[in-house]
Amino acid sequence: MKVLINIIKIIIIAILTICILFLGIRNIFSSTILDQSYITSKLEETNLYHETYELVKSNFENYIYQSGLDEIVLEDICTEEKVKNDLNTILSNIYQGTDVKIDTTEIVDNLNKNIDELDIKTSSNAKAIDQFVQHICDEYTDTILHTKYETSINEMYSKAVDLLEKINKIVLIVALVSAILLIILNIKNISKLIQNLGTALLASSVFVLVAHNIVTTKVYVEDIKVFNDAFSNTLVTILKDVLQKIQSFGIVTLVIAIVLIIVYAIIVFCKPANAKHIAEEE
Amino acid sequence: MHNNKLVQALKATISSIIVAFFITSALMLVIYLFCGQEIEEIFSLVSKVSIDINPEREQEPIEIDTDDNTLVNYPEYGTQYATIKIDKIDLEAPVYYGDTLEILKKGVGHSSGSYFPGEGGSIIYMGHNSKKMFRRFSELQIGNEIKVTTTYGEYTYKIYDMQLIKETEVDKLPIQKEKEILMVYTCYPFNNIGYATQRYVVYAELVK
Repeated sequence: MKVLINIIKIIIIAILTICILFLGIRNIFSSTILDQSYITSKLEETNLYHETYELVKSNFENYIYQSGLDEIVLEDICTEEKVKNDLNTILSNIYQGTDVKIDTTEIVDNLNKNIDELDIKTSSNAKAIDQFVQHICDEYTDTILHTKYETSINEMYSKAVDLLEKINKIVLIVALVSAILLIILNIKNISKLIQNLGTALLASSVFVLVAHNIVTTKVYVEDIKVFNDAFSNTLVTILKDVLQKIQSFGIVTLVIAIVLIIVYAIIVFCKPANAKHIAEEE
Repeated sequence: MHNNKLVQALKATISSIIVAFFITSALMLVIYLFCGQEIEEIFSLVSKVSIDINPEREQEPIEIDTDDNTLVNYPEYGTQYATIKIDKIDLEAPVYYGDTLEILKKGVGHSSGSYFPGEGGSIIYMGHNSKKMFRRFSELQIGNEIKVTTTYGEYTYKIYDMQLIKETEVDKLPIQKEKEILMVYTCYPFNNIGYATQRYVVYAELVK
């Protein structure tokens, strides 16, 4: 009977461990990559708005070489403020489920105005110039948006948030039931609850720290390159921050676990009346 | 008495640690058994976008293995490994391995899907039709020479054909390893205003 109870306890501790892991990791994700204000602050911190603006200008210049047009046509066609607003629009599309398209009318107007000032548009090259303007707009949206990924990211985010919310509710209920079961199983010696909780926290912390170690050993986060340098820099900063928070969670959980286990050991050591009983239980 | 209690306290502590490690191992085993492959795939995917850009690492010397005509060490992506010289149009420009817009800003790009000079296959170079680069391509004639000086040897090619293709057909330029052919293309028309939808390709065969 005692063996069976111990097995049930281990199973409940294992379930509690999974609950602690989920709640901890979910909390980290909710306060980082799933939080729009966090992402916005990281974009500011890594200077992504300015870097993207510079990248947009640089990409425009590539079309100038083959267009035969003077570089002056690109002057002031796009501002850093517009890049910032458009990047924030994309973030809102992802995090708030809005569906605002990137408007390139301003770029088209400014570009056409510059071309008109050069007075080079003729009936024979009008089509080619219109194509050039369209390519500049496409280049802008591609650089800002990485068009083909937008829809999938938007869908992924809303699905992930829905799923996390559902799982979160289930996990909270399971954790509560597990805690109640542990109280019932330890009703004769309630101080053992401290040991059980300490064990669950210790298992969670070891899992988190080992997993963190595996990820950082297998993936060279610092070297990740996606789309462009500006985007990569922001992505790396966010990933490093998330990993750092996961590691901190592991360390904090480990410290709490050690404290709880030591507290229980002290209780065992200081309880002369229950010593025999505890020894039997052990 | 004290010793006994100490042993009990130690036993309680050790049992906690053993159970915790048992649960962690079991959890990891379960995750590995059920999602091990998916996790490996994610690691592999992330590793692919993890590019080691250690500036202190030195490029291994590029050499050509004359037995099977392959390079012993390939140049790193984005680095200059050769110079192209076309006397007929007074052009001398650096050749970089890669074909990104950033590379084309600096010089001639080498399509990463094509062979290298000396490997005996199709080599594809591209560049802007700017004044500094290939604006004077129209002056080239059959028989003109293109010299490519790499860090591992010098190669001379003779132009034998010129063709106009659509922008979308660039990906269809023939890649083969039977004969060393250099294909250099740029945007066409050379003096166009607006977006160029055609490409002017110069074909040259290895003579030296």
